[in-house]
Amino acid sequence: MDFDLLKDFVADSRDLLDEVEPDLISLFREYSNNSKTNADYETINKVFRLFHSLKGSAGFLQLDNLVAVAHHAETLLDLFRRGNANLAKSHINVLCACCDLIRRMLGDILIKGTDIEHQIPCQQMIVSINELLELLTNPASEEISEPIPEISTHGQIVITEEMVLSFVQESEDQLKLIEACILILAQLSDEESLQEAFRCFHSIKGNAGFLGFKDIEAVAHKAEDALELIASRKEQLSEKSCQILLKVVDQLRASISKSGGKAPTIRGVKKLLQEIEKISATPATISPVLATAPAKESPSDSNIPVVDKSWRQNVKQKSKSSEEAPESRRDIRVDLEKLDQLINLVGELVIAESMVIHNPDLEGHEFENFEKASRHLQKISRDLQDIALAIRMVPLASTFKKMLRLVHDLSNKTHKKIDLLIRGEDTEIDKTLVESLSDPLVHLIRNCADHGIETPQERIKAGKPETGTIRLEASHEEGEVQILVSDDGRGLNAEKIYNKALEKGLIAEGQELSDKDLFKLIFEPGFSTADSVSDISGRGVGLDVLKKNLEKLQGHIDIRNRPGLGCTFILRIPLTLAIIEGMLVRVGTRHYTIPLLSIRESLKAKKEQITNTMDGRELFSLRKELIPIVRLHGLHNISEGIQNIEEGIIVILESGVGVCGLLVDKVIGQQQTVIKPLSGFLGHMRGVCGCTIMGNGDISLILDISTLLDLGNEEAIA
Amino acid sequence: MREMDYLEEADEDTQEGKFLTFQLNGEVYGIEIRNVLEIIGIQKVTPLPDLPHYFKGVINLRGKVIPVLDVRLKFGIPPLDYHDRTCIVVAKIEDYEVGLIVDRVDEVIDIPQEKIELPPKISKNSKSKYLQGMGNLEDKVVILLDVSKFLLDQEISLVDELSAETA
Repeated sequence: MDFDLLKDFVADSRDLLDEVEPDLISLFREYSNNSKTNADYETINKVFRLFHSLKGSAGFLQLDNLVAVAHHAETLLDLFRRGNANLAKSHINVLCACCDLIRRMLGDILIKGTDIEHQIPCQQMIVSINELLELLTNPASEEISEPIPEISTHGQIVITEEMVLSFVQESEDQLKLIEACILILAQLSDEESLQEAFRCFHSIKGNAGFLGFKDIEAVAHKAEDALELIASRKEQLSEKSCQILLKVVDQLRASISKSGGKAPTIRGVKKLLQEIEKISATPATISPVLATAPAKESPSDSNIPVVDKSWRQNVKQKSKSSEEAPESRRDIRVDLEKLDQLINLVGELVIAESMVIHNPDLEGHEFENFEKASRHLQKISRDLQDIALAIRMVPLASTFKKMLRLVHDLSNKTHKKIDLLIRGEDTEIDKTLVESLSDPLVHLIRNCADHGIETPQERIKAGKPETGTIRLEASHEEGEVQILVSDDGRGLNAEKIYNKALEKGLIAEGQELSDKDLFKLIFEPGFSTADSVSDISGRGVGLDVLKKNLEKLQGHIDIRNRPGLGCTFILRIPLTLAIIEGMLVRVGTRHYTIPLLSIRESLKAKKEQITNTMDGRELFSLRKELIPIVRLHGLHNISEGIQNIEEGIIVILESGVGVCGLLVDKVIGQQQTVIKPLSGFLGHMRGVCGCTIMGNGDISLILDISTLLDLGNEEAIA
Repeated sequence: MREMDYLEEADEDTQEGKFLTFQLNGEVYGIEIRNVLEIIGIQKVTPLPDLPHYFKGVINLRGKVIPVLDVRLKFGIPPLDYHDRTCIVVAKIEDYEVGLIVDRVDEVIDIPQEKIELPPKISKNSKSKYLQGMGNLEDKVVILLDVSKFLLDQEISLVDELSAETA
């Protein structure tokens, strides 16, 4: 089997599952609130479509077990879709379990290329779905499935507006196709077009019959018969027949589009039917009787609403607007490598442009038109650069929506009532970061649900609403993305943490700690204040993992605690790891880029602020703080440039590890640049973590602040 | 850049037995053409810390940052100021792209297998392991270099040593 095909299938299916899970949860919520809206039908339909398309693609790839599960889920959903039954919690739970099962299978399918191993869980799943189905179709359980007010009076099948709508859309498309076919047939006898038209009429007939639209069914049926006859005679469609068929199409279209959810009727059905019969009777040669037919026809025209141009336009506009609200997503999958190449090329373009515009050959000349043209070019290339970088950005929504499901499960498991509020899910962040953000959020939310939020009884006692709330908010803050995860639970217990830290030997007895430092301890591996280990959390692994993950993303975490009222975790992560907001500095003839976020300030030093220790270390005293000075000269073997501290500029660098002052010749300015990795061939270099290409094509090294800080502190201590 | 165009036209099959020759201190050296990506003129090299002296630093090759090393220094030949014939041969070794600074690039020549003599085995000089063989042509002798050995084993172990020292 084609592996690429499988890979695409798995990726697509995963996306679909991600999309649908939040819908399931929201469905559940709305049903439990007894608020039935039209949106629900749409959501059910969306979920239904997911399983349907999953079934289809899985069938194509011969993943039989997956097909079976998806098929049964589809059957279950179909009941709700038609309004024959109401969704209950048990159904949602089974459907969620279905999603999980399918997800697991997808993982294995990717590795093994088959789903045979999952036969048993699949069968179990099917059995549990079947049980639900039986309950629903069994009249004994009527009270669970109270019927929804019927729209149509037809038979047992309840026809929803949604069904009619989809029929209308489908039929309109088919009618368009028929029209095109007939127009071809009028010119020449084309077997295929004939078949196509025949098939379309057939499916219109079928759908109309199902929905109980008798008139349409009858007309489509007759048209079908007529076409069949023509096909069997193998003759060309006479002009007259064509006209009749086109009229049929117009009539159908008019009645269908006007139906508005009710059973469409056709005025003068009988006449139309008779006319269609004429086609069958018409031999290929035009008989004198039929030659006069147009005259006869005009009265019938008058009582049948003639389709005029403006109406056609309406249809066009309608179909256009339905295209504007597309069901399918409007994005494409692109290899990240290609994007990087694009960004590279755009970067080169900018450099080449500046080489042209600031070409030394042009110096001393003034070219008015050249100036104009080059300004234009600059503007375009800047826009191009912005867009190239923006391509990598995706909204956080998909990651956030996954959390809805998590909270739903957690609230079931912990028997607490928990709501999740999501804000700012359109905040955009680099694609590579989004993927690695999901894990930290899961840990945080688990923590909130398990430790933070109290049981309903406790909450009522504390005078809080019974339902706890976890908030998940994202926003852009100064070139970073800030994500808040907060709960309105009991908050962190400083005393408990202190005692636990003492027990673990992390702090000494009697040691005074600020709240900030104390709360940092909860990120220590194995640290947990939970009295018991549950299957959700309590082993003290989660927050440790969270911290490790964040470090990988170059992110930070802060805690804000309000005892008894809740706790907020603040995650700050860079927008992207592909670009850096940096300060360009010069040391000797070399250029370096310092990440802007690590710069506290930069200033000139006075002689009296410098202390030289006897072992050759230099300390800079700034507002009573002693800051070790780091020179790149020794480290990077630079002989040129300013050696005397008072002549140079000291850039104060700060990160979680500490503070140091870097001596540079000149601060050139702030710039946003694309980070390039240094060749793996070179191995590790002290104080450098990558490089960027400057506007003139030269390379500047990006300084690795944490190593510099280590160096500064090492030198001061050792 | 005639050589470059030539390279791009040649596909994998026809590259067999073809060598790019260049000069170092008056001697003619050759490397297999399939290892060569392109040839560029000497350009501004940004120095890097913590590397052996023959690593001159990195260059910006159309947005890609690649390390360059001076083959003269690598072989212990006294350095020569760079001039307008000085070239950087961009070679691909496994997944790495590396620039090699050479005195000048000559041409691409065919050296049939039977004209290649194995390197003398007796030499204990550590540098002889870079030798792939000697191309014994009518008018000249070409020293053929095995670029993969030339770079990978040696340099990576060197870099490892270096980071071990600093650690």
